[in-house]
Amino acid sequence: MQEQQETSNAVNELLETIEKMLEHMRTKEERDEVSFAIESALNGAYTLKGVKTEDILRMHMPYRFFRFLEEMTGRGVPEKKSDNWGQFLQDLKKKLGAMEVLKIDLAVEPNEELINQMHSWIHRELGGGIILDIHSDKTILGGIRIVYRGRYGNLTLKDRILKVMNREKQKILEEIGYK
Amino acid sequence: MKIDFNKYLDEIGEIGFVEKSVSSLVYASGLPGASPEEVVVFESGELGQVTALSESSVEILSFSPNPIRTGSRIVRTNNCLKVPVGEELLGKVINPLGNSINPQKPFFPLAEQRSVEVVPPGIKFRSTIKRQCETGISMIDLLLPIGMGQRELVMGDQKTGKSRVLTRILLSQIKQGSVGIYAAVGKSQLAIKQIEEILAQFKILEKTVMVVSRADDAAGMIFLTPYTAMTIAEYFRDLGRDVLIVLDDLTVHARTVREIALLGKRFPGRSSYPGDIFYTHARLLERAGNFIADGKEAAITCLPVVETVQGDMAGYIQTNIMSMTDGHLFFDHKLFVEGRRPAVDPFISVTRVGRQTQSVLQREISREIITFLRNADKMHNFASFGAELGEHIKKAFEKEDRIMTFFDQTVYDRIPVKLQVFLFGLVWGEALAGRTHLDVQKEIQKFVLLYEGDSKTREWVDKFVDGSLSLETLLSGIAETDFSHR
Repeated sequence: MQEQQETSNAVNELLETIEKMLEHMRTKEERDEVSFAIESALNGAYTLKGVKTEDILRMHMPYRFFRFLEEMTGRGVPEKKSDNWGQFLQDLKKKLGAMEVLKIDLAVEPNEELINQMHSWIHRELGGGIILDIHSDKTILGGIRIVYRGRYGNLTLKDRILKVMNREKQKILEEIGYK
Repeated sequence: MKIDFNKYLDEIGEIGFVEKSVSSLVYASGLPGASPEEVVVFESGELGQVTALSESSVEILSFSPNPIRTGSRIVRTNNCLKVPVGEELLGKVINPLGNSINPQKPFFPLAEQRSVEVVPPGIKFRSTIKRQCETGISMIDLLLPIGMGQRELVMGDQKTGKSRVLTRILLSQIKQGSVGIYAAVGKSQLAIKQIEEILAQFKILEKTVMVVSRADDAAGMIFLTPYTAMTIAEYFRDLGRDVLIVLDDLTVHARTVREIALLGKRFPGRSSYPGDIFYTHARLLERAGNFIADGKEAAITCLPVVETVQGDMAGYIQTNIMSMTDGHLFFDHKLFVEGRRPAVDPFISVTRVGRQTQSVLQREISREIITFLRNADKMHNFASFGAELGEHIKKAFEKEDRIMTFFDQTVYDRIPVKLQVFLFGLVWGEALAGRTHLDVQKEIQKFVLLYEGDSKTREWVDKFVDGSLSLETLLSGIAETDFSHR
């Protein structure tokens, strides 16, 4: 009975750890890095003798995500669950795959602060489980081009300028003295 | 015509990305508003059509000959597939999307576009088939008549003279004012060129629209070919013109439908064809018929072609199309090898609605010939025993030989119906009895040339045939006439 209770608590803690990790996941690149680390760990279990799973994860996973696993390992959580790392990594991999991608094209290369701001905004307005796929495209001049769930939004400065030029073509031609 | 990808992207506001490409089928993510049969545009400017929707992806049939790259963007157009139609298409050879296949002969974009998928008109828009579709081929016009608006299946093995007969039927109908449409479905480039050259040689290419798809085209294009041809036929029908449409051939079309269905993991039915293969062809052939528009009749006469293997008429596609058409002309390989042209077997071939278009005299002639030929066929079986033949059997065989010489149309492209009736009267009666095969041929040739070249002879023959209300009157009239001065 006590053993069952312990296992149930361990499972809940594993799930909570996954949720915390996913909340901190901001971009597609981060997801790909974590996915790669998981693949390496899963494959390493069969090919690398005497190497612990958490060591493989430490090698490949960015620390900002690994720290959650470190905390978990420090409390001995994986050992309480009979499958140890295997099932946990499979669950994490499934959750990562289910995350939705919001594709954004910007005119500038975003820094960490900008990425954090964008991610917070999306988390606040659209909810969790969404990661950013950010591309830099100088041709748009400014603004963003956004694709999410098959919907496309062209909110770029370039598009706005072209629309204004088309709308006010006559006026512009008069201004520059072209008859 | 270049399609503006970005225009649709800004207008519709939806985008998709190619996840997987399997031959002609493309699976894309995104496009949440996609609907079945909708046209989509790939980033490269190629077109596709939505064939299925699932929870996570959209299945698209690509019309591009080149494979679509994974990751390519796709945009919806919010339109079903339409093809340009207009009188300007006459004389052109186009692909199923309505573009000229010859880059040296482009044409300007046409104003009107019509949807390729159309619900066939209901019964109140149709009229009984009353007018005969003159093919100019004696055996067909007299024994197996086709009506204007009839769907008559042309069936037979490869190399049995089907294409030759079809081009002659086109010639005959175009000379009478109809519009011709030839749909070459998945044919080799050489075959397409040969058909084009024959039509040009007959000087009817300018009154014909050729809708072609090559054997190496995308499956989507081959699939679309007969539907595009039928859409163009409907355009001319709505202008009040009769149309003759040839669909050559539907066995290749069925194989393409099977290929697409199996790639799309549809459950295979009989012979691995999809379960809706009957519907695929039925909804096409039902668009032909005799229609009433603004009080006037205009017909789409359809000649679908189906190839058989070693004369097997009991195949799946063959029997399907036989059941949805109004008769069939069966081209027998054995008759072809014997030198019969056309190699149509009159005993196996059927016409369900053609006889009502014939005059009383023509029907009587048809009955007489069929009865005679059946009896002659039985006599051949008897004669093979090698016994001495009676006088009546020899006469019957000689008459049969005259009839077959009359039906042999190797040389003549087209014989008008009234001349056919007149010539039949000549060969059936005693006028040419006892003459050799060559003499009979020369007599027939003489009258054909006279009819074509001399308007007085033409008028006389037409008047004579119109005045003969029965076979007896026709034969007695011919017996009493002296042809030596003609």
